[in-house]
Amino acid sequence: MTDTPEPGQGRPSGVLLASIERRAKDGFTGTLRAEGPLSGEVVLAGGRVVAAATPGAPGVEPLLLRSGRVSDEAWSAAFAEGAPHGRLAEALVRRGVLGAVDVEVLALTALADAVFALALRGVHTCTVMPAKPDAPGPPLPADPGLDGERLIKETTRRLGAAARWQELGLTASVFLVRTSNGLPSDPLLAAVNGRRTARDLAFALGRGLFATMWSLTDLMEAGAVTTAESASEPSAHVVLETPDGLPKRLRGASDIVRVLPFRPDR
Amino acid sequence: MSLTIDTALKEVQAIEGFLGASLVDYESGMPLGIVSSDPEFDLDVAAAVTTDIVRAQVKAFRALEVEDAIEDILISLTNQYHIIRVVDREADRLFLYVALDRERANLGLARITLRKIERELAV
Amino acid sequence: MNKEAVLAELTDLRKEVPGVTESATASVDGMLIASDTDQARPDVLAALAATTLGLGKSTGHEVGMGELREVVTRCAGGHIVVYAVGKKALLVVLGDEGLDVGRLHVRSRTTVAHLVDLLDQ
Repeated sequence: MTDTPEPGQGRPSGVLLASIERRAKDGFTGTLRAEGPLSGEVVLAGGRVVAAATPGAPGVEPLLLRSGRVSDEAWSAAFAEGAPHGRLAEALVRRGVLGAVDVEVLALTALADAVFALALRGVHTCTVMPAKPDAPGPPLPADPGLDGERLIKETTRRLGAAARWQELGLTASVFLVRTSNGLPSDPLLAAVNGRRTARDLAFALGRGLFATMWSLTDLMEAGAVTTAESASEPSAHVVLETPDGLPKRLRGASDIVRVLPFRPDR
Repeated sequence: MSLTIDTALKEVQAIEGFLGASLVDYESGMPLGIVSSDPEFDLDVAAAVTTDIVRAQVKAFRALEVEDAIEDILISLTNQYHIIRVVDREADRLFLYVALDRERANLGLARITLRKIERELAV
Repeated sequence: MNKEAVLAELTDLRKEVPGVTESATASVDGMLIASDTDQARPDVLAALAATTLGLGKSTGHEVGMGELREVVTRCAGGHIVVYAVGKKALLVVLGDEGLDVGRLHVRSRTTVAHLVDLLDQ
């Protein structure tokens, strides 16, 4: 079954949010599979949204591991113990890996971030898949999860902010460059390297997509970061190996051509 | 609202002079839990504005190279107190936002209670 | 071999599949041909990818599973995917934790097909 959006007054915009609103009202239990330029899933239990995931935003694991909040070993041990029985949250708390509130905050923010990433990019179709009796659920569901109205309100807030940021040129998928060289002390700024989008930076640092975009607008407003001039411009780190083994620099790739006068090929 | 976030906010609700409160994720500005005794009080707006205040403060202190961590921010209005209590300073992720009726509230007591709740949340 | 076209294939793949961070193409004996890399050492990556591909092919052959499609290595910090490019070359793709593996497998077929043509010269 696929949800198609119905035009109407006062309804949430977009296929995804309309689908969430409808299924939340129905008390639905199962998964909404979102397809479009970005794919993902939103999981509901009794009409409340308990989890969401997409390649467009870091999920629970990269949020914990990439940020250095939790060690690989601690996570793996808790995962091995709890996840197969649907009790990862319990295992994390019992092993002292995370506090109970930390787990709740993590589950809620990861879910809201994934829904935001999907709604921002735009979902084309939302396929409704009721839960199968013995199917495993999401690894770290929010308990009791967000009600549809609250999630839609939160997503709308985020989309509003993103619309303002778009005026600065910032989207989740535009490539970003630093305006000056050197090694900055700010880890976000240091991670901007010409080949990463806001989404990539979020993954690289283990922070939420929305939070990363917000911090990036601060950096853009301060003049430290700007968007890459065109999507087809190769990055400065690209090197082509020729058959005789000597690496050759691709002309125009490095920013140096902006500073030095261009010299034609020999 | 989760059981633990919910419990914390119920404790805040018990503070004398309570008008509304919210636990907010500082990085995204997302309210993680909301309680209110006044339907006129739009806590979503309050959470958004408060996040801006906290972010501005953090930026200011960074620019001033102040090493200290923010514990709380108090805004005294004619008829209300708004207290912002930062939770979990190490990860710097959350803050508790509380609005109190100035006439009924005991500010000193409220701050002590909030500090206690913050300690419980930071565990 | 049109070097710029080869590189364009690699950068296009990175731009079109969310989560792809770096990639390279090399001969099956581990010699680097071209790379779109950031932090990885391209020549070391090429050599290791060739070993991975070889091992994948041998294992597939041993258990009678027919032609190799791809070898996916998943680590705490991301994914490493190796595809055969014809009989003599390979494509290795690095991705972060959010790599859309499904989308990569579909999109990479186009990249592989183009590379087969480009490297055949």
